[in-house]
Amino acid sequence: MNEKEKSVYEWQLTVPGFGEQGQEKLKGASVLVSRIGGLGGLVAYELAAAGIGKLVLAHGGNVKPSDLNRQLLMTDNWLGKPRVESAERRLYELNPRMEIETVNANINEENVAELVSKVDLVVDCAPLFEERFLMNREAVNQNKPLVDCAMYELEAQIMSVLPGRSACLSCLYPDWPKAWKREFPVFGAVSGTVACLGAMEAIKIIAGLGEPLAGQLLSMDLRDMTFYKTKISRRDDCPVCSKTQTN
Amino acid sequence: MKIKIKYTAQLKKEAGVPEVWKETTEEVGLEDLLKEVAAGHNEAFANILFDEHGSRRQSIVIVHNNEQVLAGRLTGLKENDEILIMSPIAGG
Repeated sequence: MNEKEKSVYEWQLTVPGFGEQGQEKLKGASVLVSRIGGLGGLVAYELAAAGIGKLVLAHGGNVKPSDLNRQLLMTDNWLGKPRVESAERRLYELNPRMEIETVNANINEENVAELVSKVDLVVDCAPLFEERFLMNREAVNQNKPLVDCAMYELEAQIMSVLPGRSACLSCLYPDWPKAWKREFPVFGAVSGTVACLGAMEAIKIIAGLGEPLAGQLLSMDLRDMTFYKTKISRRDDCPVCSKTQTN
Repeated sequence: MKIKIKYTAQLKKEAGVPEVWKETTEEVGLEDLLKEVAAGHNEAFANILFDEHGSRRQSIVIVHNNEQVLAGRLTGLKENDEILIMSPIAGG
């Protein structure tokens, strides 16, 4: 770590259990974030601030006015232009030392295996379960940790998946969540809350710090500030992770 | 005995309330309890909870006193217990 890096990360280098060793682990690590809207954008921003080595950002489409209440990597002067370009620009303003790879597409069957193969950890922030189940499947197949973040209105939840050791997204939702609708009410402060928790989970898993939410679903209702954890068990018949061995 | 039933996300929206109290018995099965609960709300609520064949959707997470209920079995139900019915959510 050079003097500039020591200076930038001074306030976190003294966190017990982290130190220069943890910082070096972050610098050597890569994370896929998909998508980079209200949730993923803040995950990426916090990881950039913390000194992650590389981010792979996947999100298709251009910035729309309706993005701006929560997608904090997007700016008004970037309306109509690609979201990933706005995100890359904003992240480099904060941390020019990191590497960023952008993909102007959402996760799909064709790109998921390659994108997951490029990173050490996946943070799932996608609004569609098609994308979420693909990332979960591929993370488990490639034995990569996954942090799953979700939100609705003033509620949010987060769970980490350590393949072979804890429940995966398909253990949590063994059938297709047909009730879920793409558009839903939410404040940026809600997506930002769970995004910061997601970034913290990623930092913890990469640096070996604390206890990740493996096999535990942290749910919160910000309407009355209720937070609760629920133990989520692996399913013996899970089509994604039941064949994955503990390692 | 009375137990508290709480809802999250889209179930809470369709119910119009975050929770209800329900009179029930220790022996009640999960499926029967959920059908009784759904009967107190609108059709959209029931459609989130049950599929077109009337089976409980497995993507609905049921929590009893902070423990996930697996295999559809409720055990040790007591007065004032809390059942949380969680509707699946995603990102954005």
